[in-house]
Amino acid sequence: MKTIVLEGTVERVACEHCGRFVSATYAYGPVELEPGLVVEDVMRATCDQCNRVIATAPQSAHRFKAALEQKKHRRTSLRIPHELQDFVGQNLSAVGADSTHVELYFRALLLACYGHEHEIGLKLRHLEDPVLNRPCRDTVNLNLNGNLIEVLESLARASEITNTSELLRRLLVLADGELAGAAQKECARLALAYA
Amino acid sequence: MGFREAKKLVLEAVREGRFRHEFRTGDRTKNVLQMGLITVEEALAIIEQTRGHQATSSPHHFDNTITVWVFRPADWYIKFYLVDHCWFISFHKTEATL
Repeated sequence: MKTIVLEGTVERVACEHCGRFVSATYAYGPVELEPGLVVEDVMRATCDQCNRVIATAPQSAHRFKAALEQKKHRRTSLRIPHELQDFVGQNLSAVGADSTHVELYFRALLLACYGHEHEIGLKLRHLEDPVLNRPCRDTVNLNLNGNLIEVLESLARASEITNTSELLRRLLVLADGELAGAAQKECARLALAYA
Repeated sequence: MGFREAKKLVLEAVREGRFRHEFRTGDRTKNVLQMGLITVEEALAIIEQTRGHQATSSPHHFDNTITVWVFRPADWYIKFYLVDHCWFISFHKTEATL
């Protein structure tokens, strides 16, 4: 292995804290990128004098990347009427996906809005439908990545609806109308990708 | 060591995986190669663009026998020195383009 650094490897590394080149030893361990963001299992060198992390090996770059991408994700929960939960399940089933994989449908729905956030947002603002007055009995948990969060935020700006649950409930109503074709197409595409 | 030699050696080191990253205080997520936000191939392509007038060198402030190079191809800022491996201190876009 020419490019992989092994635990126990010792190298001469510049240490800012000690103000000179020091002997540093590589081992797997945590690295704090910023307050509250600690990446585990990184091959890093710690100063043999002050014990601070002073270098990292390129083989662990993927761990930093994953941590930074995860940071961009947003977890959100929303409450929807049972009728809308049924609607989502039915659409998932229609493309051969697991009808309980509700998150997949919401991702598809947001992807279907990509590039059209402004016009869709305006429609959402004025949307009315009896289902929106039904009791919200079901909880949906979503974990959205950076791109989908941007779509969601653009829709919120255009619609002036700041409540995410309300926004997504209205989007579901639109998915039963003029957004149906695009949403179903994205849903089918994602279902295939996840299969 | 002149610019041509430094460029040749840094390209070889990156291509062969013989490089490390210093881990410093400040914005620790800024080095995009260290963070895995660009690939080795992309890093090579960026370094390759560097011309002589876009490079400067100075002695390392902990050891003046070591030359620290700064390459500024297009809108990039790459700072490194060559001791055994290539040690990257910085690899990021310049502030104006961030």
